[in-house]
Amino acid sequence: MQGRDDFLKTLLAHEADLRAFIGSLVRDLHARDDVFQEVAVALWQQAEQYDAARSFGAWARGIAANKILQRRHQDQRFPVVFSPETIQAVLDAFDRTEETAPGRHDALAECLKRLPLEPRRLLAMRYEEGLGVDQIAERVNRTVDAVYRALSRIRAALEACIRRRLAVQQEKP
Amino acid sequence: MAPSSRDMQLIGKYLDGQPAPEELADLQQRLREAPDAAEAFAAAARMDAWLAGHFREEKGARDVAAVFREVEAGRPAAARQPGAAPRWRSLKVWAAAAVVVLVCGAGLWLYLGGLPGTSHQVLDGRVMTGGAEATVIPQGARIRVADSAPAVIRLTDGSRATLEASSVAVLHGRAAGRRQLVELDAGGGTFQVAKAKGDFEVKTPLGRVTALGTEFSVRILAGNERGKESDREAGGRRALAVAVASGTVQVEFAGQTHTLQAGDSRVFTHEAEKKARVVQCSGLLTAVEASAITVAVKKGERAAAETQTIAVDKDTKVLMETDQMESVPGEGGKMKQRPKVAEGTPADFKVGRQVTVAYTEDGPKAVKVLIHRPAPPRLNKDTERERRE
Repeated sequence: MQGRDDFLKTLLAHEADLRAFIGSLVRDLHARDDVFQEVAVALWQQAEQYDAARSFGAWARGIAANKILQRRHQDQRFPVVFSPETIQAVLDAFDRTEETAPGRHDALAECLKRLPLEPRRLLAMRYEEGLGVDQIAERVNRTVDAVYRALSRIRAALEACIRRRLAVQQEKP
Repeated sequence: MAPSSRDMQLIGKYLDGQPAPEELADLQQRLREAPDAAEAFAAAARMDAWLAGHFREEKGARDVAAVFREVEAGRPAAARQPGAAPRWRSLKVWAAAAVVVLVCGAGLWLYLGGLPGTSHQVLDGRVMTGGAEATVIPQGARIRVADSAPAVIRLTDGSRATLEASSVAVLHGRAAGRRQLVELDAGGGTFQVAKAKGDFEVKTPLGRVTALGTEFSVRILAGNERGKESDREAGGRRALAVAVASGTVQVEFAGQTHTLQAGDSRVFTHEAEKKARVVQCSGLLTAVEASAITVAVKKGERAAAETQTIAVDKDTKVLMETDQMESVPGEGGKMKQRPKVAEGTPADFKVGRQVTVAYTEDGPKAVKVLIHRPAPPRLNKDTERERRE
């Protein structure tokens, strides 16, 4: 890699995806922040070793997976429930589906604005208030399974909306 | 092959909650053996992370980047407008700051560790304290927001207060058994309360609002604001307006506790309390206690009786029907007879007596209790036949 500036730009472009990968394996909010910090410092320290011909995202996720396996090995209470084989399968899936298209974050914000009030409330309870599905079910007077289904559907709808918006943006000259 | 609905269900359960052990085993097997399921998992996990990041940014959660930005700049970070600043900037600063960490080592971490609990940070707007504009506010300081615009302040527990222009408040921080106490003397504000142990309290001259992990607005309405907001409710006196955007808050006002849920808003005034609607019920006294009576009310001949417990106190007016009768004007100008009424005391409450109670609906508290005289014994059919024979 040419220099720290280039390295920094590449790191920035992959931040969200790296956080998503770590978050998919480490479900505890504080623990995943800790892992992200460790990984970011490790990447910074090993910047000289990075081969620009390879995918940066795959390299960063590989380091993250190693950190997670290390922590899992050192501390049995570390909040990772997947086996090393499953972690490898998830790592492969992230590598196969890597997306670094710019504008995803803005597209998500736009799609959220267009979401009807009720789904938006469910998302706010889940992600802003940090409520569990059982607590949400109690608050909205629905079954736990209904809330699971609703959240899955909302995420799928947002994914479709983001893809539509990005496709429209790419068509523009 | 597309992931099955079972795959999606397992992924949803993993991301949103606690899957059962057998579901977790099932999910792991699918992720290892079915590439489509693993890719669907990656897509859902990405969306989960984006949503978490989006809502965290909207909520203004304190992140590492903000801390570093403040340390680097030697001043608090500017407020992030949702959607305005690209997310990559945070990591740019973070990465730059990582160098600082490598150089400075543990000393800086100790400094950062101590930072959140010591002072409030002005993120946006102009705040005056001790006669000067400040960006860092010590706990317990009295502040005044400049007249021109609202101010955004990150409190020591990570919560965010957006105070209206000209608001006056004391930001106590951790005090009086609360993890965060804001004493709002004038104006108003919206509070996005960070999730943490302990109560977050906004104390006003009119009442207290307590919350945990929620967003709500509080405003002290002056008399001259009647025309602008809730004219009828405010009634010309200072009033406390509370609106809840998410979660639940408790409002202590005039000695009573009210719970407001997400979407609720209410104006609390002393006049409104006094003018609480008075309703009336009649029934049989089934229990008498020092501070309450219970009345069994029948709404219709065949309806089952419903009991209602109504508070009584020294202000409750007690009246008793006597055996003497008096003539009073009735319908159509005709005179009618009714029992004379004398003043009574709570000691006259006796189980089994018929009463009519006028009480405040919000409470409920008895304003007036009329104890009816005992009805003459009704003869059943057998007794009547025996009497005739």
